[in-house]
Amino acid sequence: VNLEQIDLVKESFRLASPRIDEVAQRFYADLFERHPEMRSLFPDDLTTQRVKLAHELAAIVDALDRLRELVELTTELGARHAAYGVAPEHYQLVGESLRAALAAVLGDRYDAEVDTAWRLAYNLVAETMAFGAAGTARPDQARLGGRVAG
Amino acid sequence: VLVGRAFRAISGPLSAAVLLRGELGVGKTRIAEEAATRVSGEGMVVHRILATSATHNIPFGAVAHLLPAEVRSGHDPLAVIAGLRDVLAPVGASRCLLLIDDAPLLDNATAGFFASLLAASAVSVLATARSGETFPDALVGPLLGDRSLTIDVEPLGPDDVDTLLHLSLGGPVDTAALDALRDRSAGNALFLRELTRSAVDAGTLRFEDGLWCLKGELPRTARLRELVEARLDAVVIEARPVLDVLALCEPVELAELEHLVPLALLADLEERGLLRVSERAGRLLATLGHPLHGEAIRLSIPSLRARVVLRDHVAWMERSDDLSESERLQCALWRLDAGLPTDLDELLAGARLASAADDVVSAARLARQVFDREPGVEAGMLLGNSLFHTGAFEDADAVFRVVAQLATDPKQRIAVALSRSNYFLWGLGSPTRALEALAEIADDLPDPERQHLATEEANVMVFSGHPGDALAHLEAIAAERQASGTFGAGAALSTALTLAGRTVEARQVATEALQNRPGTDLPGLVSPETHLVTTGMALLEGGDLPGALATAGEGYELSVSDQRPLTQFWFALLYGRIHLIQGTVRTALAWFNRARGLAAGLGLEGPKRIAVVGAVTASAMRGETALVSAGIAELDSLPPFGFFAPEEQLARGWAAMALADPVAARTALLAGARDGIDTGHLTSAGWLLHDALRLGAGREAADALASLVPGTDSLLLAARADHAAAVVARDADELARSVDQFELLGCRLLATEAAVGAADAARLAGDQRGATALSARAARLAQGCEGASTPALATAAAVTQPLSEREREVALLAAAGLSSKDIAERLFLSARTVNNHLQHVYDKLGVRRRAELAQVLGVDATEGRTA
Repeated sequence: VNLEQIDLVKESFRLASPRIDEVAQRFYADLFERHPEMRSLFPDDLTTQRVKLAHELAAIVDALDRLRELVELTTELGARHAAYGVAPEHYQLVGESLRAALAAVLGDRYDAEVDTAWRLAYNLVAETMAFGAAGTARPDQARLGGRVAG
Repeated sequence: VLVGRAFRAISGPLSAAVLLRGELGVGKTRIAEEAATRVSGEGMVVHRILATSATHNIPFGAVAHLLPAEVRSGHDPLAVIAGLRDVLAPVGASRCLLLIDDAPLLDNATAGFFASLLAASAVSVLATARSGETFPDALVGPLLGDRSLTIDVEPLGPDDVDTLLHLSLGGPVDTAALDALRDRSAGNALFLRELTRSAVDAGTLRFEDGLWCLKGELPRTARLRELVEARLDAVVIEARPVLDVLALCEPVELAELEHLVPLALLADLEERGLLRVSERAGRLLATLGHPLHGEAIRLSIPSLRARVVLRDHVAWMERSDDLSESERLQCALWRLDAGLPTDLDELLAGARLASAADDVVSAARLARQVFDREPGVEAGMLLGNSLFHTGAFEDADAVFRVVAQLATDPKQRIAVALSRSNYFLWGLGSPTRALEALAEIADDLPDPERQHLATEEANVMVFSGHPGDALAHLEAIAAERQASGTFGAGAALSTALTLAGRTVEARQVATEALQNRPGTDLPGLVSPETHLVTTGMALLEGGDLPGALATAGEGYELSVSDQRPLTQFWFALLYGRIHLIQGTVRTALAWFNRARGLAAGLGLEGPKRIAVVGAVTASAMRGETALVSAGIAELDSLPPFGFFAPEEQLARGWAAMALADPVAARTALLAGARDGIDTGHLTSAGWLLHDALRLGAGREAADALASLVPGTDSLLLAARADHAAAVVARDADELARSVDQFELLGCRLLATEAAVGAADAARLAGDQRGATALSARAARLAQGCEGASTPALATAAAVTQPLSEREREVALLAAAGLSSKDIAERLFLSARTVNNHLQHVYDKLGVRRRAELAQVLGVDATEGRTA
């Protein structure tokens, strides 16, 4: 994710913020329509769930340009999700529904570039969450065998 | 997603083994580690196995670290195997997971051991392998077979590269740098890592203003190996010894490296991704960052420098007095490579260990090292036997000839003579020379040893096609009782007795021999399974088909889990024979083909004949003429083999029949029977004579069969003789009794044919109703014969009048207990029409009442009512 893409994500999220509950609603509707088997991972009443999602998204988007902070945030989040029964293969599905929800709410302002930015940013987050879920070493230290910078 | 698949595959009940396969550097190990971490999070015990090029040639070299201390330093090969079995035993209800990185580098002994654990479902395995690399033979089936799951690991996609670089570099990467790294690495994780590393080291990839940018060119090389070499070249000279010793000897204890260089330097190497430290069974072991680093270093290291490195490493290792057997062996081999004096005892112990683990290749290599330096009996025996098992017959013979000169005490001399005789019999297919090898030493042996030798001579006689001589030989030297008690000789005696039709005695001998099993396995051909083979044969020829099937099943499972392809072959053969005698000809064919494949794999051309004979016979009984001709051509190309040789005429006889030449068929079968009687294959002769009768030989066959029966206890042989007599007498009642007899024994095809003959005889005697009933019975029996189309069955089909669609419907309903009125209502017919149909059905099937109808149609009346 380059700097421009981080900006795009932040900007588009700012635009969507006033209608964040609609984003969350559309996200869950889209996710359960496409993958009904995932419904059981969430509580019956989604009201609080939607609020939580909005808060988590806001925190993550805010931390996107501060990697160390982001990694701490998301690995912890990933560990919690694993306890709910979320498996690594679910992340891809969640990402698709999230982008579909943003696209629906933002309309014309969600163009191909914005979509790419969200996709890459989401992958970054999903990767670190998956590491948190597995309880392994932090990905920024593990993958290339030691930190180089930051 | 890959991690998830691997994880589910291991923790689920279905696949015991998961293989991650992909190009070098694509990230297989990483995925395997993550999946393993997840299963261990669920409470599964994970054992990590390091297969490296240094341990590749050491029996159990890859698992030495797993052994408990009291076993580690011992010299007992069986203790090593038992110790490993304990360590890897299931914990509670949960199997252990073996994580095997670079499975193709496993040593053969470990591979064979793991394969046996997998076959017994005692462990789960998660293995990685580079695309295109070959596995140790023992693991090919378990890792690539039906019960395993292979996941091909693909290179990283463009988005993955983006994510990975962002995380690993710890910040966003500028687009130009990203594109360049992505294109150059083509999604290969290792290439990406090496490329990024070298660019960072060289200062071309820099973090400026919150962004990673490329200042200048990436290294030019397009090849991963060159890139790695360039990066290794850049390592400071002080760190070279660490890389060298790791490349030649990894894994190496961290303490040894600390002794070589300051810890800070090791930390630096780790930071650069060139060194990895992991904990294995409480020890800190270091390996290179990637196997590719080792390959590059080994290619570049000068030979004298390699010697120095090995000497230093061996010196370090030998300071410990807690080396495992594998480690001591490894040291001994390193000593050889380093030009240091070597303890030959260690090499001999290694050869012993390899041999006990059936790793004959390593056993031969190690024993060769010892034998060439210091020719001795034990080394020579290990070498000769290992060479024999690898199929290097001439080399084996040369070694045995030397050993024969060296052996002095009777036990040694007998052992050598037995090995040589095995080699002559099974390797060269020459029973004459096998007997000579035994006779050569017989004269100057003391008496008990000479008797032992005589039982071995009987062994050779049985397997070279003279079971009659063997039996006479054993009886003549009055050694029968003693011989029957010993483990090794029991196989010969039991087999000879079975072939003589004395199946009860045969079973006793096999049972006694098994009870007298020595503490460790004898070398050579006799294993516990051998006695299950002879027991199964005795049961089958005695006429206990269910018992024989159970024995075959038990033995086959055992040989698979014990990794004994030789006994596996004999059990496949036994299975084929049972099914052939049972008349389930398609299953018989499948087992004979399995046996054929096993024999081919073992290079046993002589015994393979027996499998081909069975396959041809089964194919001919199914009317598959193409398979028959191909099989006969194969028979003609194989060397002669004495054991069961008379039965070859079964194949030739049935083949002639399939090709519509009944005269040639009968001639072949009768000739085979004569040969069988002459050589002591009496049960075979019974089979051949009876088949000649089935193909029209008549009185000649029946008389010969009758003369075989006295002195035998085989129910099968008796049933055959009775049937033959009834056929000659054309006695419908006697023939019907044969149907009962064969059906009781489980010989479906023979029962079918007897029923066809009985129906004909009844018809001739004017008993039309009885004839029809027998025909119907034949038709029902024929359904259990898996498409057999012997001449008798072909006529049966013509005689039995098929029911029309409506008649069948009415008959089934009536058999299910419905009244004519009920049937009429259900089928919208008048009751009279139903009764008409029923009358036709009764006439065609030769029955009088509804109760009989149910029986003939094979329908359970009560079950039908509820339906």
